[in-house]
Formats: sequence, C-alpha cells, structure tokens
Amino acid sequence: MPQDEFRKGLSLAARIGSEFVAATVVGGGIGCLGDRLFGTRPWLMAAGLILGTAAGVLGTYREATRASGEDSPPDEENNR
Amino acid sequence: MENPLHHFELHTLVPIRIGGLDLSITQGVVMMWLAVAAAFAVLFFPAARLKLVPGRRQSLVEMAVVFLRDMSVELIGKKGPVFLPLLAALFFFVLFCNLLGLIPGTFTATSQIFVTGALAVTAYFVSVGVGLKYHGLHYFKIFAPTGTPSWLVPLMVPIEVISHLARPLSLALRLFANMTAGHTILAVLFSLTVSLGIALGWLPFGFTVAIYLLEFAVAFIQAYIFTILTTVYIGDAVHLH
Amino acid sequence: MEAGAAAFIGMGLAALGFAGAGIGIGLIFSKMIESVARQPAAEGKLGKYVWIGFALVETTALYGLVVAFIIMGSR
Repeated sequence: MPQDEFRKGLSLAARIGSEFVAATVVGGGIGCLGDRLFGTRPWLMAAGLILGTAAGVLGTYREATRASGEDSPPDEENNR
Repeated sequence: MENPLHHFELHTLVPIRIGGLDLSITQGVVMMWLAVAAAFAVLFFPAARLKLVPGRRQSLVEMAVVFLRDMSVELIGKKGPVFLPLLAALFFFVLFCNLLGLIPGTFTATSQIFVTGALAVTAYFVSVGVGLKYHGLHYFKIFAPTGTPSWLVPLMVPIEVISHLARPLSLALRLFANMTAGHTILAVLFSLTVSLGIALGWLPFGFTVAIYLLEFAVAFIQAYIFTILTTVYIGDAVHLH
Repeated sequence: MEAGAAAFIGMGLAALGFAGAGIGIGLIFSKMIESVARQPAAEGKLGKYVWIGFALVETTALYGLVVAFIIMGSR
C-alpha cells in the first residue's frame, strides 16, 4: 500500500535527523547541569557530549535497521 | 531594514501576575484561543448535525479523522483508537495554529518554543504513562535491552536514557524550527519587496508568493509529522521494542 | 565593529552549514535512486545505509543551528 510507504518514509525522515542532534544536546545539557552542580567544569559536559553522540548514533542505527525490514544481514547484533 | 525576528516577540496585552508567575495574556495566547475556536467551529458543528449522507464539510472532517484512526491502528495496533482523541486534538490544534499564523499580520503560536515544548512534553509523558500502565516496572527494561553484555550495562543505561530524553526535545525543536524559519524567510523577502520598490520589487514578491504557498504545505506536513511521531512513541511504549 | 553585529554575522555563518546539508542530501538520494533503478533487489539492503547517511548529513546542518542558538543565547 503506497500510503503506508509514504507514512513510514515521512516519519523516518522526520525523526532520524533531529533525534541525533537532540540526543547530543540533551547529553551536553545534562553534563552542563552536572558541572554547575559539582563544579567540575568542563569534564562532565565533555562526557555528556560523548554519551549523547553515542546515543544518537545508536538510535539512528536502530531506526534505520528496523525501517529497512527484516532482510538485514544476520551477523549484526540485534538489540531490539 | 527592520529586524526580521521582530514579529516573533511576545507583547503583553493583559498583564496578569499571580505570585511570582507571569500569566499575562500575550498575543500568542490569543492566537491559541483563536485556533481552538476555529477548530471547534470546523469540527464541532458538522458533528452536531451528523447526516447519513455527509455534506461537503462533514466528509472532509470524516476523512481527516478516519486518516488519523487508520494511522493509530497501523502504528499502535488494536488499542490504537483509544488514543485517537489525544492524537486528533494534537493534530488539529497544531494545524490550526500553523494555518492561522499564515494570515498576514497575525502571530504564529507554534513559532514559540514554549508552546511546542509544552505539546511535546505532554506527548512524551503520555507515552511514558502508557508504557508504565501496560507493562508496569518492566517498562524500564528498555533502558537495558536484553542481549546486552553485562559489562556494557553501566555504559548502555545512560546512553538509552539520553536517547529517550531526546524525544521531546526533537519533537519540540522540529515544529518550532520549521515554523520560525518559514516565517522569517517570508518576512525577509517581503521587506526586500518593500525596500526595492516597483522597479525590482516584483522579483522578491514572486518568491514571497511561492514560499507562502510552500508554507501552506509545511503547515499541514508539520502538524502531520508531530502527530505521527507522537503515535510512533506511544506505539513503542505499547510494544516495548 | 560592534559586538552585537559580530554575533549576527556569526549566526549567519553558522546557517551556512545548511548549504552543505542540501548538497549532501541531494547526493545521497540521487545515488540511492540510481542504484535502485539499476538493481531493484538491493533496495532493502541499501535503505539502511541511506537513512544512516541521511541522518549524519542532516546532523551537520542541525549542529549549525545549535551553534547559532548558542550564539544567540550568549549574546
């Protein structure tokens, strides 16, 4: 059904790009807050940025894998 | 040339202060009331006199609602229509805010990040609440998916939490950025038209008309994307990926 | 030069990132369509990589947006 295809593509395209950045920003923001709380500027923010980027990469990878169907190669870890 | 971001500033119309809270009525609040009133006028009056053979307006509204219902069934499953009131309310509210903001001289409520943020946080808490209701404390298992090696868990949990918390931010930012960007471009192009006069002003004016038509499409698409992503998040909470 | 003017110029420069994202998204999807037209069976496998690439390209542009917001906030 072309309607479903359109819906899937639109929702994937809309969420995949901005969620990467949002994860990085959230990670950096949490780190920044922690820095302000504990006075450990800038270490927690750096850690948060790294964790946020990792979260973005992981989320993007998962979404793309899920969206492109079940015919993905079997050798990757399937952490659904 | 005037500042193109000028018309995104909020102006207080009726100052109300309760305690330390600023609950003043700004033009954004008025536009949201107008959006609710417009949605009410378009949706309620056909619903009040339902006909077996729908008229033009009734069939249009029915089409939109059936569209949303099919989407909820497809993405959430059998329980999808339970969430239809929430999804339809989000869709029509965002849609009417976007469309009313396109009338020249008005204010776009969805170009304020506080408005989109409040909507996104509402959608986010609904999805978390649904997850907790259907799965109880098992819901928190999504932060440590099965199959994760145990030495990776302390690393994976913060990553999963961050990527979960990123959802409302990305929802809010997308709608806000789209509406603000479109209206800023319209303002810049129109101020170019005014400052260039008739000799060269027709060129940016043509672009203004084209972008205005594009903004109509964007108003619909962004309302739809906001709703579809809310549905996807609720569906994730119901199915626990 | 006034500091406020420099901030505005910096915000404009940050928005330049969108030009690169436009080129990148165009390239990705043109190649995707080309490959699928040549070999329709590969669509499922290519889809994943296309979306990952799309996300990474989109990200560069949105980082520019974030930088612009940071400049606007710290003005």
